[in-house]
Amino acid sequence: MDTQKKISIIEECMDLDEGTLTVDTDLTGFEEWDSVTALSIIAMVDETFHKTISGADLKKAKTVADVISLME
Amino acid sequence: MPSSFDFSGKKYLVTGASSGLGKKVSEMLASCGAQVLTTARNRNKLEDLANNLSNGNHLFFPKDLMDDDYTDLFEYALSNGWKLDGIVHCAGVSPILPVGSLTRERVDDCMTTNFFSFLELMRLFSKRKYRSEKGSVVAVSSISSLYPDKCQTLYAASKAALNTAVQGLALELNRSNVRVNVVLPGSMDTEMTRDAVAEGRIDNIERKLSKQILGLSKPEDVANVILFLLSDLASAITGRTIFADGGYINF
Repeated sequence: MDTQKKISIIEECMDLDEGTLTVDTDLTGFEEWDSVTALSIIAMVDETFHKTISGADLKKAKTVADVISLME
Repeated sequence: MPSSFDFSGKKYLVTGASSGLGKKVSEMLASCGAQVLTTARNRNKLEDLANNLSNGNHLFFPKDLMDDDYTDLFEYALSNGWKLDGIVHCAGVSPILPVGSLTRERVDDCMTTNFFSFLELMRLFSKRKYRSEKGSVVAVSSISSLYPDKCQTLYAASKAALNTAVQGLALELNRSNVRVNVVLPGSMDTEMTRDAVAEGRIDNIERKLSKQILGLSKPEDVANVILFLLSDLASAITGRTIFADGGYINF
């Protein structure tokens, strides 16, 4: 899956408009970067990539690039 | 008496639109300036309704809510340039079944039509691309969800599930400016009620109806409460069960 599609997945989990995030965006500044978003991302990654990531993995992620590296 | 709301420019999805309360809500929303996407199983009834709703520019999409996925319904709205301002979930069945008849199949059917369908609607409505800046969702429950009669176990539970679900949904969707509420009607003068009375399936129907001190409700009276919840007038209400039960004090 290309990078832009992966970014769109993160945008959807955070309920942000498409195009809000880039690979370098620091997620920690967003109000939407919370535990509900973390659960949405875990579910999406499981559904889309059949991969299990943990809350602990996501807690370490700071940028969009960090989250993308967890995806596949 | 015409409804006093102005929904010009707003777009709503109404399920169970081909009859009863769903049909009344669709008609009243349209007469208040809203554009309505109606859905139900019966294509002919939907088409008739869409053609007769006032103010034009409405959509309809036949859909069986027993399907697992409603993406096609939402994509249909999106492909027509619609971002929804809300949903009114009127679709439902009211089986009267003694506990010995509660086979898995009957239980699945009722829970799916009445409750799982609502979760699927919300799963899709939670996606930003289908929604407007602000949203309001109303699910139709029943006073029976709190005060069921014998043989209403399944029906009551399926509606009670809605009462609880709207709370978690309201909490989660607050950041998306979506309010989620549930309306509890009592007995209304609709086909569903007339059938139940005629078929004599309910014991003590007169006693039950007499507890509704305002009498049998007109669908438009319940629909007005739904329209109120959809409107900005209800901006202070979310995650709540709103009674529109004709005064069913259950004395």
